[in-house]
Amino acid sequence: MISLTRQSKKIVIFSSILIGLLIISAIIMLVFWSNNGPGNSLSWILAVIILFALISAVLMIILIVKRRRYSSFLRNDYYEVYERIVTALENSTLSIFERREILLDISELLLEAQEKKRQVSSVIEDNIEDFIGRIKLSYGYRNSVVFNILSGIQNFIFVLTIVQVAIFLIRQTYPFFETTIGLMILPYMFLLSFLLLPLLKYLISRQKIIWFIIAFIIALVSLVSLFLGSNELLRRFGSDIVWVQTYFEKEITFISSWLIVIILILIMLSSWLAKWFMRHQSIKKMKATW
Amino acid sequence: MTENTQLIRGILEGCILALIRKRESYGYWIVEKLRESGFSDIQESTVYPILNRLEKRGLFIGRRKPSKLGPPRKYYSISNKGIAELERFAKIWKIIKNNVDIILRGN
Repeated sequence: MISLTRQSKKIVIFSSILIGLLIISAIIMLVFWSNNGPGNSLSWILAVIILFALISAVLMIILIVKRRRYSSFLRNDYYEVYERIVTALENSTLSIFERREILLDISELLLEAQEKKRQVSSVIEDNIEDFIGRIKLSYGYRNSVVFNILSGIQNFIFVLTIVQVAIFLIRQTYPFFETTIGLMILPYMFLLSFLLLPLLKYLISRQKIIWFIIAFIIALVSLVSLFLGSNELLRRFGSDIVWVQTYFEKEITFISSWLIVIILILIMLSSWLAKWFMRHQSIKKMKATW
Repeated sequence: MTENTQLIRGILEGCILALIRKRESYGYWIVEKLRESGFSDIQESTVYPILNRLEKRGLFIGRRKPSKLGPPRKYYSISNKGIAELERFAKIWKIIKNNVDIILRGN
């Protein structure tokens, strides 16, 4: 049986609540729609949602088990510190290979120190975030505006693709390349990609789980309120204005052909390449500190 | 002694280069040697990012080997670039030490 640290317990509780809420609301909607709703056309989508929620639950357990792979011999305080490092790393901008490399090194260092019966506080400083920050610097990561913009572009493409896929699955009436997205949701997707996702990632990486939950709920409520409130105001006071009409009525197709798919893949790849190049240059510029 | 000052970290870089020049070494061994040499309150969390940084700059070559404790252990050996950097450090250190000694003796 795996013993969970406080950090893991928080993650498990929070994820379980989210998954539970998702399953309950999907079941309620299923029952409701089977009696009065828009027929059974959406029932299978809700079933897929439930399936995804269950898969997420299984993945969460696998993730926790996987975390123990290199750390199964770490005990008490040592494991607690290791968990905090894993959480900070998983939500950092480091690549999956770099994270694996760092975890191998750190678990080895911790195991050695544990063998010598040293206090964990003499091995790793209390401020894990500073420690991870220095590791990131050693890998050439700098907190630059260009780097963050490139990440935002990648988020934006990812979010819009997910939205188009979701709308395609819900409507089921048009081919995928003709599935349209309302122009009015674009500003919110922009906010989500460039502001909210980076903020949530930052809060997790800084181990501020409570702040993350608060920010998550506030972000969700604010986005929905902003969407409904601004739409209501615009409808009430600006319905004669041309751009407001366009904003409400215009539908766009984000991924409209295979050519666009190729272009989007190229943008994603070039963003990754640009980020890699920036880091490479940053490493080249590193000088001795003496 | 405050471990994380820029000065200490700079000096540690030179010391780590010197330790690794003597023999192929791994993280924990390097920390132990530093502790034995007088950096008694040095932590692994101070040394590890420095090792990484020096490796990324091409001053070390890292190689993983199996370890009895569990995960494979990374061993570092010095590169030609590292040797040149160590010689530069030794030269600068000699000048700084000399200058500071003169001032301290004068006081």
